Amino acid sequence: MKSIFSLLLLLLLAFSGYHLTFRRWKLPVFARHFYLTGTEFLFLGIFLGEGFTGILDSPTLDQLAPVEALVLGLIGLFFGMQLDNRKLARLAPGLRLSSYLTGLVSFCAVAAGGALVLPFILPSAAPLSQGVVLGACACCSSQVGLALARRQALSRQSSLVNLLRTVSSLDGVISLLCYGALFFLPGAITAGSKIAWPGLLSLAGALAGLLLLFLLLIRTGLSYSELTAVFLGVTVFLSGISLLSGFSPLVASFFLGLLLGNTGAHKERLFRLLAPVEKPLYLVLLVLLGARFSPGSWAVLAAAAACFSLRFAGKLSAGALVHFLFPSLRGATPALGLGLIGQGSLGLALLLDFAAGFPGDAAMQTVSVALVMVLLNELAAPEALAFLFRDKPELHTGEDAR
Amino acid sequence: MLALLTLFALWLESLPVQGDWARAGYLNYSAGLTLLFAFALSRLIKPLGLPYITGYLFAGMLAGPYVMQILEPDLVRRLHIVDDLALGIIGLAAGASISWKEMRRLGRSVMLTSILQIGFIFLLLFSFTFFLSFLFSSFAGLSPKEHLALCLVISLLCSAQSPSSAIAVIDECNASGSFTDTVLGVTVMVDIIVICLFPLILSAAHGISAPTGARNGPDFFILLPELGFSLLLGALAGIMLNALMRKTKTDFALFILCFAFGVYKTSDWLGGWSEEQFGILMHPDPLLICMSAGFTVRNLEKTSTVFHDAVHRFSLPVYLLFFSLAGASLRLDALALMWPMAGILCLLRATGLFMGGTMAGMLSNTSKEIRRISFLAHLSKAGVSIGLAQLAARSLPAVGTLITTLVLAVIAVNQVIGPVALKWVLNRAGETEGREET
Repeated sequence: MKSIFSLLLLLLLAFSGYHLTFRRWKLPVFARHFYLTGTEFLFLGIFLGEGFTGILDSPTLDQLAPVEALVLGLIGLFFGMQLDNRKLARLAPGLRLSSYLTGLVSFCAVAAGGALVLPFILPSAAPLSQGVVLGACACCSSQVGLALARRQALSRQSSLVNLLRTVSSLDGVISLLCYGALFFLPGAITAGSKIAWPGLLSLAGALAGLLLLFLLLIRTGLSYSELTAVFLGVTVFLSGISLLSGFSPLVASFFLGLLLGNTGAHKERLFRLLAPVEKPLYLVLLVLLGARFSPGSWAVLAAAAACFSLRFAGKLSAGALVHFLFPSLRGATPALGLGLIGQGSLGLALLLDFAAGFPGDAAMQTVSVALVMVLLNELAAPEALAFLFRDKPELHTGEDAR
Repeated sequence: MLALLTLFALWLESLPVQGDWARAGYLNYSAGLTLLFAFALSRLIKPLGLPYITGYLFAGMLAGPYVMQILEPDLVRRLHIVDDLALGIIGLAAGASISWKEMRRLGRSVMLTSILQIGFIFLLLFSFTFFLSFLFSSFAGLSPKEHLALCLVISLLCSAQSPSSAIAVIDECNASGSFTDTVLGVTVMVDIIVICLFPLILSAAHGISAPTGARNGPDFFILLPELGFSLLLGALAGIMLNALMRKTKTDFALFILCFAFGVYKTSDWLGGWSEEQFGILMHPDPLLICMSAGFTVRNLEKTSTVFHDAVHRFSLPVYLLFFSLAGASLRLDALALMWPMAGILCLLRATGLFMGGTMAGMLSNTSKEIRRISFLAHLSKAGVSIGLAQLAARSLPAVGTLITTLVLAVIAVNQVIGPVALKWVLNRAGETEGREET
């Protein structure tokens, strides 16, 4: 009964959040940024979690695992579908490479730093795995800061803004690939690698089969409601197979989305289908993730501060490296990294996937550290972006945004 | 497509299911496979002129515990959470399809048809089961009182119909017109009357068959207030939905999902709470609440299609799962055991529907052809009967197994034939021409 009530609560929150969040209410600056990005749902999740009200406690979260898998599947699918090969090919090679490079540098900074530094702050049974997950989470940056800025000012800095948008769209690829590799690492929290070859073959077969199935069904000219049914069926099915194979539903769905987005002319219809549920999905994700937060001790906060610093340094270094390696790239400045501090939602999805797929204290610890790191990033991001555009006062965020 | 899906199913059966995450995966895989399988099968049989829900039912039967065993009984039970959601949406859609103007025009005809159908079915089935059931060995070990109790309950339960199947077929065919409205109205009204009569009959049956002659009298006096309360609650919910819809205007579908699900769960909770606090089981009927809400919104909201779109946005995947699970839940073993008896009951039921429909048609001056074929629109039966049969089985333990087995066997036959017959009748009545969904 509790899991059913929790499911109901999640649906209601998703609906109310869809209509209340991202509105422009007059609040103190940092609170307004949280509110405008929907981050308050993370706090709501923490409130509903075991540490406070206990509504979304561990047994309830376990029972909601099918819902979590579906949410992750939809998010992965949506992200994969956005990576249209034809559009990517039209980007300058330097632009694409710099996007992947910034992701990789941030990943290395946090993963390596995390694996080396964290054991001193937070005793852990699996420092390498934790480092990989934190690094993968840290990779992702978000465009929210740019979205909240004034449109007319953005148009005057189009090259820099374009660069930032491209980087924050593509760095998630590195994040997912690095996270996916975790499932093949022996001793990654669980004994042995999480996925065995039969499972991998099943998954590969499932991906190919589902793509074929989807294309066959699409050919018959489906109505909107039929497309919804098929799409939902494919997502639920794939998330199930991923879990059975011991793999990540987020990464598996990403690959399917990538294939779907690059085959056939139905992509626009699929996007129209998914667009209305993107925001509610994101809010449900935040609540579920917040419910898994368990501060435990002050060491978690110290570890999070360390990770935040590593990420900040990583982003700055990456930005400087891009400026050095691609001097002709329009918009590239040495301080480019300041525009990438905002945390992307894909990193959060990844955390939820990790928390659910690798249950245990180590995963709980990692999620808690990462969540605090995310909050620190969200606090720092508007100021960092404002500093990046400091000579262009009309672009300052934190003031009234249109 | 079907071969591909079957291959998936057989291949993945070999993977071990260990741990919570894998168990969640098994649930998702089964649900997703069922959805896709049901969709593919329904489209495959479409050229045969069969309605989609027949395909969904067949898919469920094939995937269910008696054939391919992809959906094991435990999994079917876990997926029944979808039933509440589906019934809520069905209730909203049913209510929203009835306009007050049409109801005033057709009310007399609907009431007459419903009463006559129930009357004739009850009479025919009771006569048969009481006087001729000695021909069947299943009835051999019963005492005369138990036999009488069984006859009363079976005769009433076989009168119930299936609003969910009717709505699904009407939606699929985009049928509309006075015949469609009458069919829907009668289907809903019959279920309401059966729900009202059930405690009376059960009380009488219990009184006859129980050793001490104890009666369950008080339940009946709760029933009318319960029904009234359900209708009122639904009307209030409808007013609220209408107000909310005017305010939000976009993406109301998510709220409809929440509402449909919430009504069922709140109703269950309310029943438990009232019994705990006051010693009275006050359980508002969630299907009535949703129908009343849908009816209210339809008749308050004159021009906007927001509500219609919101209800139908997720209806197809929900219907797919709901009817597939219904198919998987059909007790084919019960049918195998009781098929001669079930077959005769189905024939008698159809005869009772024919007689009731014909007489009502004559009194309402309906055309001769419609009078002749309208009974085919009411063959489907499902949900309500199952729930009531389970209640009866608990109250009458001596004959409980026989009740559920027989009812399930009759449902199995009628759920296969009913939607096909309904679609055919709607086509013949000319209320689906050129409008069928592709």
